[in-house]
Amino acid sequence: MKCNLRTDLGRIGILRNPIIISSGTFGLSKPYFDLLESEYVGAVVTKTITLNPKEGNAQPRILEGPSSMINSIGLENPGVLSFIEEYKDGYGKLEIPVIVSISGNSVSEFVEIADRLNDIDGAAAIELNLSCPNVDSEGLSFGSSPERIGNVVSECSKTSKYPLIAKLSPFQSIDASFARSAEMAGASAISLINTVPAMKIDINRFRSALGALSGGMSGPAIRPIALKMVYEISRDIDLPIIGMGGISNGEDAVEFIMAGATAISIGTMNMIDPSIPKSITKFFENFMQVHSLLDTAEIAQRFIQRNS
Amino acid sequence: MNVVNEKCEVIRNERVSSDGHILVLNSRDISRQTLPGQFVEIGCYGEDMILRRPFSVFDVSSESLSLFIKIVGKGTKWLSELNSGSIVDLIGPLGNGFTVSSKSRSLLIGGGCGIASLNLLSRKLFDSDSNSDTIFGFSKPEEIPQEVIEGFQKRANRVLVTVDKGPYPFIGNVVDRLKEIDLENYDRFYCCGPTRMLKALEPFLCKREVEVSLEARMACGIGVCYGCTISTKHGSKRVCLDGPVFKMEEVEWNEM
Repeated sequence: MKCNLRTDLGRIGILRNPIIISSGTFGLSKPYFDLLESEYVGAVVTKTITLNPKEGNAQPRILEGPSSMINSIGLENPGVLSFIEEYKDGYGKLEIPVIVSISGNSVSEFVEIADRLNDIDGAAAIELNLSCPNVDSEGLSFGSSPERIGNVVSECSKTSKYPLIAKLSPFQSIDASFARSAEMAGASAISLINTVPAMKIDINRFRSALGALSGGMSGPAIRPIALKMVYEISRDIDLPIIGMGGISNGEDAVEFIMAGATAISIGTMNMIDPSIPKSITKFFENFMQVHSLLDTAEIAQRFIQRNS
Repeated sequence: MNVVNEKCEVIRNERVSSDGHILVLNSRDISRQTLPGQFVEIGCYGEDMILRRPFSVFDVSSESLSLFIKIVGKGTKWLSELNSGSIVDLIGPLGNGFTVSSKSRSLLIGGGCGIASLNLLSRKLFDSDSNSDTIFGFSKPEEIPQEVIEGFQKRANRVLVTVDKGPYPFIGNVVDRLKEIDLENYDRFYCCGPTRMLKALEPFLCKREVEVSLEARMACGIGVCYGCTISTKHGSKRVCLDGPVFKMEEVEWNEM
């Protein structure tokens, strides 16, 4: 029996497997590509692109906590116009579906980026980063109500030729109201969870241990929280969910599928070990064989049967 | 050259100063490709740790690679306690190394664990018939890795050592010792150490041919996360990918 890892993400299309590389942890650098075995990757998400170039936050930008990392990169990126230039010879040539992550400070900024991205061909989707905790001004408050999230999604979907993924912060994943609002507004999938807003204080210097006051926490420490949020929200909406939060290996990935994710995404741990997609793939194949499961949907179904 | 992931066995783990260890690892794939100034990312599997740690390569042979580990936190403590026979997970070689020119007259200036990348550099300069003198600064006398310094002495005409706090024949920082030296004797300068040391050297060396190797906090080490960026005259650069070796004149020292 040959198990099938093909993953149907609805309007976004069919991926060869459910393994996606999260925004900010995939890049086109040579060392990363030397280590990546792309045949085991279902799709990749670009670093978040903003309308104008962003310098990002002051150093230090990275801290390690217990089984976790706190980052305050601050969305350093060259802006949408440079991204489009670079896309043709970079992401556009990859043989992996590419999801472009974008973030704006207002609905109109999101719409303008989405509009510009109509100039590129062949992307799989646009992911709306609605929650990046590193951005000041309206950044987080921008996503503070389900109505505003719905507003961004519906305005972008009027403009963009691409299907949209709404990526939610843990605060937008406390209940299903934000995801439902994105669904009603025309999103094609929901990604959750983004990093958890977090701080570390250097008590000897009386200041933040990061260059910025706070950052976003990721890694295995947040995994059980993310898993529960995926479980709850998947019960309430019909859209495919891309589950993420500290996934480090095949066992973790299977847990998220059981909880209701259609695909899973690996971020922090993928930077530390770029061969994780391969080991997750091998784990899925073995797990499905041992439990006589034909596809990943059956993994989730069996969990539901035994927990209802 | 390709970056590879290699599982390496610990051959020896030797304490060489109060807080310094030399970790000798069995390596073929990484060791045979590594140039002076390049680094590796090593997995630390102690409790609660997830990030790899970046280390400049201290020395290589065709069958081994060694790292100089200064104990500063949980990861380095874990590495310092590894026994022979343990297996560690390495990614490398990473970054751009130093320019090694033959028949040059070089001055190497290092502070603390900056001694690591300068060690391999000094060997390669020696092999290319280049003359290299060396200045090292440490915080305290017990932090001086004596046998490493002796290695430099075999290859250099002059090795000057200084400590911030005595007792030691010379108390002061590397800039104080630099003032004893006629800089005109050298056509190349290589510096590796803490950022504040490099910043202090900059006014004295800025008009000369200087390469600096920068220390930075990194998450991925492979050019993906933008955790280790610095400001340069040519915009933001990633220390892991565009460095760790930069031309001194390229770095925006006021923003460091």
